[in-house]
Amino acid sequence: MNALQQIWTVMRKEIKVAAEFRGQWLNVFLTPLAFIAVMGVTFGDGGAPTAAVYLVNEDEGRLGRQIVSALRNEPTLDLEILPSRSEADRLVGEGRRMAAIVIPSGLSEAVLTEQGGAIEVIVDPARAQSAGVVLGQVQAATAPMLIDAEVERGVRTAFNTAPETFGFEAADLEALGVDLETVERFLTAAIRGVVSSQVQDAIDDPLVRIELKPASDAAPRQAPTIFDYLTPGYSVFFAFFLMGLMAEIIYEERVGGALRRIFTLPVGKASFLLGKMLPYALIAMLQIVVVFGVSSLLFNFDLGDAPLAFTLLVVATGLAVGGLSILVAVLIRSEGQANSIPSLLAVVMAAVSGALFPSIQLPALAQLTPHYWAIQGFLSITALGGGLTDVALHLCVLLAVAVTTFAVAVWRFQPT
Amino acid sequence: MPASILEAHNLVKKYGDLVAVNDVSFTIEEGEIFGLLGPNGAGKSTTISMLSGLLPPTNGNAIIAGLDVVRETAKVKQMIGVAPQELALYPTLTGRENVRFFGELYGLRGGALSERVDEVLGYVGMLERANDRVQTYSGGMKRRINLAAALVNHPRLLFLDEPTVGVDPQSRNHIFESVERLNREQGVSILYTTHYMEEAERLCHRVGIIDRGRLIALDTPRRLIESLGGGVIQLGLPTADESVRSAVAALPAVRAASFLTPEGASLPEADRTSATGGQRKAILKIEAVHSNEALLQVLHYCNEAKLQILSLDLLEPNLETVFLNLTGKSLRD
Ligand SMILES: Nc1ncnc2c1ncn2[C@@H]1O[C@H](COP(=O)(O)OP(=O)(O)OP(=O)(O)O)[C@@H](O)[C@H]1O
Ligand SMILES: [Mg+2]
Repeated sequence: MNALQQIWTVMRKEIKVAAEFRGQWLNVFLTPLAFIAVMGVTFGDGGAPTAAVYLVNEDEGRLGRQIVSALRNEPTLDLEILPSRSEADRLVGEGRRMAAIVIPSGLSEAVLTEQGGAIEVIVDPARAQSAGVVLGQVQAATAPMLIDAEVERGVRTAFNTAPETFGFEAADLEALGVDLETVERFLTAAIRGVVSSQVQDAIDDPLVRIELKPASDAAPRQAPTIFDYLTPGYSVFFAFFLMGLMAEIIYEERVGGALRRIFTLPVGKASFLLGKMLPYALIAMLQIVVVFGVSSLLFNFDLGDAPLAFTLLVVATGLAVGGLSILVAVLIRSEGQANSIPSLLAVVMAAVSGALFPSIQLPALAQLTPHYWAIQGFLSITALGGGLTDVALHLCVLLAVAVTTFAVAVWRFQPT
Repeated sequence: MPASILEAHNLVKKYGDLVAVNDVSFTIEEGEIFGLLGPNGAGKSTTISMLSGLLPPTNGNAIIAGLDVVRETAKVKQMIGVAPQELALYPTLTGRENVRFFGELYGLRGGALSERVDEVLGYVGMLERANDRVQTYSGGMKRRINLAAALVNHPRLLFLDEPTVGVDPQSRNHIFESVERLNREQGVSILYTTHYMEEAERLCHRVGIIDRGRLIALDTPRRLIESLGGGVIQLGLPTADESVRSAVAALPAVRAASFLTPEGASLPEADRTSATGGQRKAILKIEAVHSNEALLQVLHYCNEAKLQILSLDLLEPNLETVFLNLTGKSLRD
């Protein structure tokens, strides 16, 4: 109980002392928004968003297999194959992934009938809007095959009902020594050839391509934008600038003798450091919320539909920022170090992690930074419509970072 | 059982090869003001750090109010107050906020805390300025808040590490009076470090003289001064001549004579001179049995031996002279 009161006392003191450093607050809260705005305007929709969906193939025929492989080759879709429609239905209902694509049984045959067939997309009703993205992507991926099937069905239907549509009389054909079936096959192949090459052209030609576009004012939001990357990236990047402030204050407490006095009092190292760290963790959390909020208002990006997962991710990220920062602050031994190492580290970590720009990162090292896990976590929620299970790993990694860095800080901390 | 509030037994602190505190032992009686007098780097602050549970001793141990400082640190810490040599305050907080902060860390809350904070601020005469930021205070006012913060937990034993450094005469007097009143009225035992011998003489019941980590003398100021006997004479000569030294030492009114060296170190003969006003001279330190007689005999000897006298000082009998006599150097340069 006494330790809790001491932690609270240290927290209040720390906030009062830190509040004096006004420039730092500007840096932490406003600079990320400025960067996001500039980068967003400069690079526009340069990101590579993907949608996480389930795929169920109940069709035994050739078309089903073709569609599956086409969808697999679609870079904007992150597929998980499920064995049954009922399971997909349940998982989407739980909000695990934003949609499930179901290829119903008998589709291969059905497309050749007059009624035709349909690919079904099961969407989470809470995220019906974002599911539009999936529909577009499915259409884009399956267009060639569907047109193919369409041609085949059209030719067959025409011949079966009225060969004269094509201007032939059965008798004429017989006179020429060819049977109806041969003509049908020939025509199907010919038409398919023409149409298919046009479809291929259409796919290569962006004019006709079904494209994913960021939301305009009129249209509902269609796809993740670069802001989905930049907002968490710059938020975390600049939250780490708190590290310099923490280092500076600890340095002043050390040379000014405050640490000496505090540790001639019955105060534990862990309580003291926790009291010092928590305010910055809370400030980092507040900053993330503010930056996301402003960013979503100004740049119109979707915060996702998983408030619990989002909140937990904010908390875990704040704690990771606090833990790593207190560790660095505790290890710093001179004013020169306090002025240089934290900002250097903040920039290097951001650059390595991909926080500066989605395509800039060192793949092997990125995963060593808390930035990476925070960004990927937020991305799964805001851009991909993920929920708690999608960010469980991210939460665990961030909390592990927070706990281990804090433990090492307590271990290495020398008050004198 | 003697009423010792503190017993230090053979304390040693090493920083690598440097022995900052070397086998220091002493006791402080309940209700005593004990002074540690020594020059810069003598090991005073390091000794306080070990006694207050901040630094583990490399060797030796300390008992405060019957409790081992290392093993029962938490209990010991409740009983002591420390005013560090550095100000140990938050400059952007007010004096009151600073004192409150430390009071809260001791576990004081609510009305008891506010009452005690006002009490100690009043004690050091800082109630009027208590709501101003520490950075707006004079050096003396900062020192007074530093003292107030050390008092907030009603300590039985108070460590004051050079509490008058950078202080104007008015604040210095205020601090002296506070320390004396605390001791007299509340029976607080005090360990007081300083390199101002007048402070030690005025305040301390007993004084330990510490130099280069070693405790080289320990007694009441009066007895330490009496140990000087008839006083100390410093004679400035052109060269450090051994035959002159032995001749002076043999004079009837002289107890001992030795050449001073800078920093008291044993340097080669040729270097055993110090440059003063561009002129090199050797200082012969003469301990007298009777200062007047010794002075006459020394002057007579110089006259006979045709020695040129460059300077002549009859040192006041005080702790400064005691230190110089023990170490061959002054407390402050
Ligand atoms: N953390 C440390 N690391 C290495 N050496 C140290 C450390 N702290 C003190 N010392 C050395 O120990 C010796 C004693 O220092 P200490 O601060 O105890 O002296 P002091 O008597 O308090 O001097 P002053 O009057 O200048 O305050 C000095 O030589 C100092 O350089
Ligand atoms: Mg000191």
